[in-house]
Amino acid sequence: MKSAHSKTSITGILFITPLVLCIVSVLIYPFANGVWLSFTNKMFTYERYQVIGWENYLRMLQDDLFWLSLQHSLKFTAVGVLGALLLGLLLALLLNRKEKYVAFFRGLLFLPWTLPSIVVVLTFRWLYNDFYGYINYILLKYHIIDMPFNILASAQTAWIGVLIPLIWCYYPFVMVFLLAALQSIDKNLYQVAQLEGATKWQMFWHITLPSLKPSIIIVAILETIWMFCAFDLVFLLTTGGPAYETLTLSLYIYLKAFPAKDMAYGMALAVIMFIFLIVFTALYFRVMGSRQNYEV
Amino acid sequence: MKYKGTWLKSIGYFLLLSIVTFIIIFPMVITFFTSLKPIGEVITAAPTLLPQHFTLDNYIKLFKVRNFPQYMYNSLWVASFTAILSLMISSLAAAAIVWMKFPGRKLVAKGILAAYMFPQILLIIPLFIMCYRLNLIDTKFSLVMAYLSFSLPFSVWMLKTFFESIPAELVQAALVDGCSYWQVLHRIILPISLAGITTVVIFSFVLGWSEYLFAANLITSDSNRTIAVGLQTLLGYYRTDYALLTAASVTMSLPVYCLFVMVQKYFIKGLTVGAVKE
Repeated sequence: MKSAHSKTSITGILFITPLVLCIVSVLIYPFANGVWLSFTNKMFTYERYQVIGWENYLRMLQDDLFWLSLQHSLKFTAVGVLGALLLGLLLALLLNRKEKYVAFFRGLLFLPWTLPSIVVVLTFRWLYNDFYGYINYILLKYHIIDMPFNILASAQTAWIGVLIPLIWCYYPFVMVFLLAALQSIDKNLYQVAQLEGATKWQMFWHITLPSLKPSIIIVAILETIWMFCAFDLVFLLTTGGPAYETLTLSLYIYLKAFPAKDMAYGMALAVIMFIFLIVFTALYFRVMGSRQNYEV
Repeated sequence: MKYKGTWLKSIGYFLLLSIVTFIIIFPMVITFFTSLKPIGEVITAAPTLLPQHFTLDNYIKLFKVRNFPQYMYNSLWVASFTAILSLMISSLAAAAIVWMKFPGRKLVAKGILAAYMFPQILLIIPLFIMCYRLNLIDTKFSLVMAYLSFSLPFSVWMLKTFFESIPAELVQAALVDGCSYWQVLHRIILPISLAGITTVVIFSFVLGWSEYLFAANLITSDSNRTIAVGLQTLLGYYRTDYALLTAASVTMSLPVYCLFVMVQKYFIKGLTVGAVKE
C-alpha cells in the first residue's frame, strides 16, 4: 500500500498541475499584480506610470465618497443579510414537511437564485416603474398611495429598492442550506419533547434553533461575503444614484477604475475591500474548523 | 373527528405554501405571462395577470431583432468552453486531492475554498489589464479565462465531495488488479460520480451564460457580445417594449432554470455538504 502511494506521487503532481497553473495565472498572479499597481499612478491602459507608494491609500482617507460608499456597503450588508436569513429561515421551516409536493415548491422558491442578474434588474425596473409598473398599479388601485412614485428615483427610498431584489436573489441559498440542516436534526428529540408535554414553540426554541445555530452562522458569513461584494444588481439598477445614495464600495471601485479611468486608485479601493473579506473569511474558517476537521 | 382535523390542516398547509410561493415568485410569473401577451395588453392602465390573447409574436420578433441570435451563439460558445475546460481540469485535480499524495495537498484544498469566495469585483481591474497586455480584449477566449477563475474552485470542491463518497477500497482493488490511475478515473470514478460531473458542467455553463461584469468590460464589439450584455443593449433600444424585453428575459433564464432543476438535488447537496457535515 505504501509503495503504491509513493509511486503515484508523480501522477498526483501531474493531475494537480493544470489546476494550479490556471489558478495562478487567472487569479493569484493578476491579483498580486493588481496589489502592486495600487502603489502606482497607472491610468487605464497607459503603460507609463510611476510608483507613488502609499499615496492612493492616503488619498482615500480624505475621500468622502470612499467613506460614504463603505458606510453604504456595511448598511446594505447588515440589512440584506438579516433579511435573507429571516426569509430563508421562515421558508425552510415552511418547507420542512414530508409531503411529496414540497419538492415542487422548493424548486419554484429556488428560482430567484438561478436568474441572471440582468433579468432580475430588468424585471424589477419594470415592476417599480411609475407609469406601467405593477407595484404602483396595485398601490394606487387600493388607495395606499395617491401619486405614482418610483422607489429608485427618490433619495430616501432608493436603497430599499435595491435591497429588495438583492434579498430576493440571495434568500434561496439560505433556504436550501437551512432546510438541509433541519432535515438532519434527530427526530427522536421531538418525540421525547412531545412526551414531556412541550409546546411547539418550546420545541422550536429549545431544539430546532440550537441545532440550527452552527448552520445559521456559516450561512450568515457566506451571505455577508456575497452581499458585501454584490455588484451587478446595484450597478444595473441605480449605478449608485440618486445623489450617491446607493453607492457601495464595489460600485465605487468600478466607477473609479473604468468610467474615471483611475485603475490604480480603483485597485487600492479593491485592496481595502479584500482586507474586509479576509476578516470575514477567517471567521468562516474558524467556524468551519471548530465543526469539522480539515483532514482531506 | 381527529382525522378530519389533520385533513383540513394539510389543505391549509398546501394553500399557505401556494400563496407564499406565488407572492415571492410573482415577478417571474408576471414576466412569463407578459412575454405571451400582444403588445397592446402590456402597456395599459389596467394590466391583467393572464394574457387575454396568447401569442408567440414577441419571441418571433425577438429572433429577428438586431443581433440577438448572435448574442445567444456567443454565450453558448463561451459557456460551453468554460464548462468543458472546468470539467477537465477540476476532475483531474479533485482526483489528485482525494486519492493521491503530492506536496502541498492540504494547502491546495484550503486554497480552493478560499478561492471560491473570491469576488469578481476584486478581479475585474487586474484581469482587464492582463487581457489588454496580452491583446485578448474583445475575444471570447478572454471571457472563458476569466470564468475559469470562478468555476474551477467550485468545481473542484464539488467533485471532491463526490469523490470522497467513493470507497477507497474500490480504487485500491482496481489498482492492485493492475489498472492505471487513468483507467481508474475513466472506468470507475467518472461513471459513479456522473451526478457530480453533471452538476459541475451545469454550474460552469450557467456562469458563462449569465455573467455580466466581465462580459461587459472585456468585450467591446457588438458581434462578440454575450446575451447578458446583449439584453442590456436591447433595454436601451427597446426601452418601453416590455413585451419584447420579457420575452428576452424568459429566453435567457428558462434554459438556466431548467438545468438547475435537473440537478437541484445534487447541487444543493454539493453546496451544503462542506458545511452541514455532521
